[in-house]
Amino acid sequence: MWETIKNANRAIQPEESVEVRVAVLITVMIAVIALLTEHLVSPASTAAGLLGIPIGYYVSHRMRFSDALGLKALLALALIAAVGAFMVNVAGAVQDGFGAVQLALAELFLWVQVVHSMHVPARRDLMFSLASSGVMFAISAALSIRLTIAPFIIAWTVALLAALVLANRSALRDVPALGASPPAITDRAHVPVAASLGAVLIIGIIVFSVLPAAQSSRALSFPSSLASNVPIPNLGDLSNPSLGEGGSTGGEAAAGGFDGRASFGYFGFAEQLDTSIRGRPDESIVMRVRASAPAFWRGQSFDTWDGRVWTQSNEQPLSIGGSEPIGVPRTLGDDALQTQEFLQTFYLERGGPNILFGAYRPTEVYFPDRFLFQLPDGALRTGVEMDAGTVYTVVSARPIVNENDLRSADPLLFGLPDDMSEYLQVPESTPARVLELASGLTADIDTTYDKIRAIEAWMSENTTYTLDIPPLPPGEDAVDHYLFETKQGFCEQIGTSLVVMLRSQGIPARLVVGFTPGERNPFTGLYEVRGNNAHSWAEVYFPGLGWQGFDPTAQVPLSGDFDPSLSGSGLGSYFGDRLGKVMSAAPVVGGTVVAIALAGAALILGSQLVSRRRRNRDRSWSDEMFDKLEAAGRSRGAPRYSTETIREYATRLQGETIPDGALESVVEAISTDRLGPVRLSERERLEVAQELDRILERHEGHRGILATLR
Amino acid sequence: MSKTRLRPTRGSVVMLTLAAAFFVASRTAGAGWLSVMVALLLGMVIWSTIEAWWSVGEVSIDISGPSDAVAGRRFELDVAASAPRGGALIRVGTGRHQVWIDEIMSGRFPITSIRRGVIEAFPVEIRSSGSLGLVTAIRSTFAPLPRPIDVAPMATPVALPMSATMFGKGETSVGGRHTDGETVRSVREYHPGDPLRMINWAVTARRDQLAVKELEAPQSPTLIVSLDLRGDPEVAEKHASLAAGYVQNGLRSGLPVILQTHEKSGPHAGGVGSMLEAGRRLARAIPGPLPAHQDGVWSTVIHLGQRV
Repeated sequence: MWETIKNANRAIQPEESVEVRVAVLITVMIAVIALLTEHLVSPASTAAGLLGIPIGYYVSHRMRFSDALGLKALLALALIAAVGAFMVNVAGAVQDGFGAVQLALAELFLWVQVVHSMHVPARRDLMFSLASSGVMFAISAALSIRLTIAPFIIAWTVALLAALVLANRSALRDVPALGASPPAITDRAHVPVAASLGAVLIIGIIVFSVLPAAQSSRALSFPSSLASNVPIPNLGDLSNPSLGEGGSTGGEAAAGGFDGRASFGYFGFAEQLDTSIRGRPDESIVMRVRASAPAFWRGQSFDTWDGRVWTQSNEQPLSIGGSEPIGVPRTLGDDALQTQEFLQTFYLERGGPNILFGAYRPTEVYFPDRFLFQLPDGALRTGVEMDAGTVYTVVSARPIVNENDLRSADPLLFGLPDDMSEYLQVPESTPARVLELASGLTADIDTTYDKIRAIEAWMSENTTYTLDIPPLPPGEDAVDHYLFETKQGFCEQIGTSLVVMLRSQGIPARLVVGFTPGERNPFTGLYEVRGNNAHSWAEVYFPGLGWQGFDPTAQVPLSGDFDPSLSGSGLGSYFGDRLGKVMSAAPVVGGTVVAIALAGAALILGSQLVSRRRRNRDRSWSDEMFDKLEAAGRSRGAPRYSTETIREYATRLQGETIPDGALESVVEAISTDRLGPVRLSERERLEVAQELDRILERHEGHRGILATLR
Repeated sequence: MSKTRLRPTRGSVVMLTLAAAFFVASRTAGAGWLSVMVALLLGMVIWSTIEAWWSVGEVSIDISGPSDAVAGRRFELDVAASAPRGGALIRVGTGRHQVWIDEIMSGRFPITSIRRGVIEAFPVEIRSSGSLGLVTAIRSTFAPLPRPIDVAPMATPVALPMSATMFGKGETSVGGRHTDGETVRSVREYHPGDPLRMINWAVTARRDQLAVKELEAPQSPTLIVSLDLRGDPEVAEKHASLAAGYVQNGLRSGLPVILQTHEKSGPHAGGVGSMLEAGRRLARAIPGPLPAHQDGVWSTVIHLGQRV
């Protein structure tokens, strides 16, 4: 029995190359550091990873010839302990969601690496380490939502390629070399590593472009966490610290504009929306959204319009909090029958309003606080401040509709539910020409859907989208001012005009505020939502289909225009935008980079030219003659081997590719000139050179075996 | 004519498995960076495939060897090879021995031919896994020799027939009939010292005294080895080895040896003065009809073949 165990564990051929071990160690350590920077492991595991693995590799190298039976037994016990700890962690983490399981998994893999590193004697073991470093790195990659992991991916790729190149060279050295002793495995190793890196990046970009995009699946991932737990003073109220003091009313914004305000400080994320306010938040990323498709991230809606300001007629919140997942009840008009499930996870990058954003219509929310409130329009508010770092997941039921559905489910043909009157309210102060315009545009059109499109088309043709519009004069109706005076406006003016004109025709509508999808980052797969993506648009009620969003702002793409079915979707525009910004923002920097690149290229070319000239200047007549002979042999498929003297080479050439008896005497003469005590005279040199030319001409078409084989 | 095929290594299988797992994870967890890792891993395997195919196609080999060899005995080839795109393994012939080459190298490659014959080109197997070693490309080709190698059969130890050693006339067949042959000139009475085998028992019985045969002196005592390779190739090769054994013994005994074979040019009969010459003749022998039997000489004929 003992003999059987010993035989099964006897040492196999160890990896002798220290270089291979170091390359593998670097690859593993990059994966470990990536794990640490994503804050996925405990301090104890961090210390174990940073110290234990390098020590383990040193021990492994020292003990590579040993059976190490005792060590193996210890490592097996350690591995069992690591798996046991993982099971305990998982058991405790089940109620904390899938994210907690992922953290436990990261710990396990790190400890497996630490334990495994103590005994990696053979190349096969080192290759296992490379594979498991890939798995460990994948955990970091799976949980990373930013570009900060990009340098680690590049470094890991370079280290992996170097390890593979060196290991492959080391494996070749297991076989005897033909003739000459082999060079060291690191000899010019940077060349294949650099070539492979370039090729892998090019092929990788092509593969990435055609790879189906990453998608969220409901079955696995419902991340949610709070960055802090600061309760809202009055539960159910709206709080938006980013608007400043008393900002939830939007009043300060009206007075002070957007100067110095936080990125989440869009004036629509308040209890009222004043259309006389000008300006937009900055370009900072306010949140990242993991979703399989773009959507408008809806925040809240307004139903009451007074000609300048939108408010909500009913601010009474309904408490819907509880344990995850929190079910979200239907509200008035949420009567869509055919829906598809749509999972979104929001990662807040900035502190913002206590509004939960999500695609219409949220049905479940994963939010780690027992207080959650729903307003009559379906808007969701939290009971805690929403600080940067907060994560929540929303499951929505997106209505599946097309144009024909919208035409057939006409609110003008079917009866409207009770209490829809708020959504038909038009202030009496609305100028008549606004109502006349609406009537005129929709008079000869049968369906609500086509009426909406007609109004949108008119606004698109007759007004201009711009953020730079004059202030709204006191007492002026915002819609009238936009449609007939300035004919210029941004989403609030445009969306409000659509809602007012539709209501004037008996079509229930409301103004919604939230965010456009933002830009999809092709690497993280997340939508990066910036402060200036804050947006307002119209929602129209369709019986049996619920509320349908309409965005008359031509410059903002409608939801559904973009289909990220491939990972590389938007890759070109992503880089193009950034390059364009860099070049336009800093032409001097761009010019400097180009100038440095050109100067570098000129320097390299110049130095090569100088060195070639110097080489040529130092070359003797015999060198030139031998060069000519070598070139002739090479062109005939018989290059000179590094181990051959010029005489041996000439003898070989004479035997196969240049079968000419005169060659020997010519080579002898050249060798005499080079090595002998007396140099040839100029005349003799000329004769020898002419003879060599004659020989080469006589055997112009003769080709050797090497050439035949090629 | 060369043929190249690809073979994944364990490394590429592991990478593809990881890529598949990461892809599934990216499609469920919505992790875009996993898609990046999938693309990089697939990029490595694809590049390794391209590079292996490319580098194995660029390997060239130049082989030369001795003019003569013996089947079953090791000899060495002079091999010069170039692998411009880095390391490759080459295997010449059908044995297991392989050597590693990098850029331009030359050296000796031990080889053992298991069969006799004339070798004009060697099968060569070139393997390259590129720089990364994830996929191996294997190119099978033939490397022509500047001059052919005659591989003689290994001589099977064998004794010559008595008749040959006694300079008598006889005929021996291996695989066919066997007869002794000697021409008796007269019979005389026995003298001490006469070999026993020369006693003519019939005459002794009639005369009631020992009588011995007096044989005709051999006119041209020659060993004729007649090798017919038609029939089962395995058996034919054994006969070739036997032929080499007979020739070797004949030459050692100082007998003139005539070798009858069939070569590419047709039936061939001729004397061989050395084992080198005999080896070349036997190397070139192929199945086919033999020259007409040589009569009228004092010779021992050894027929080797399945059609004797």
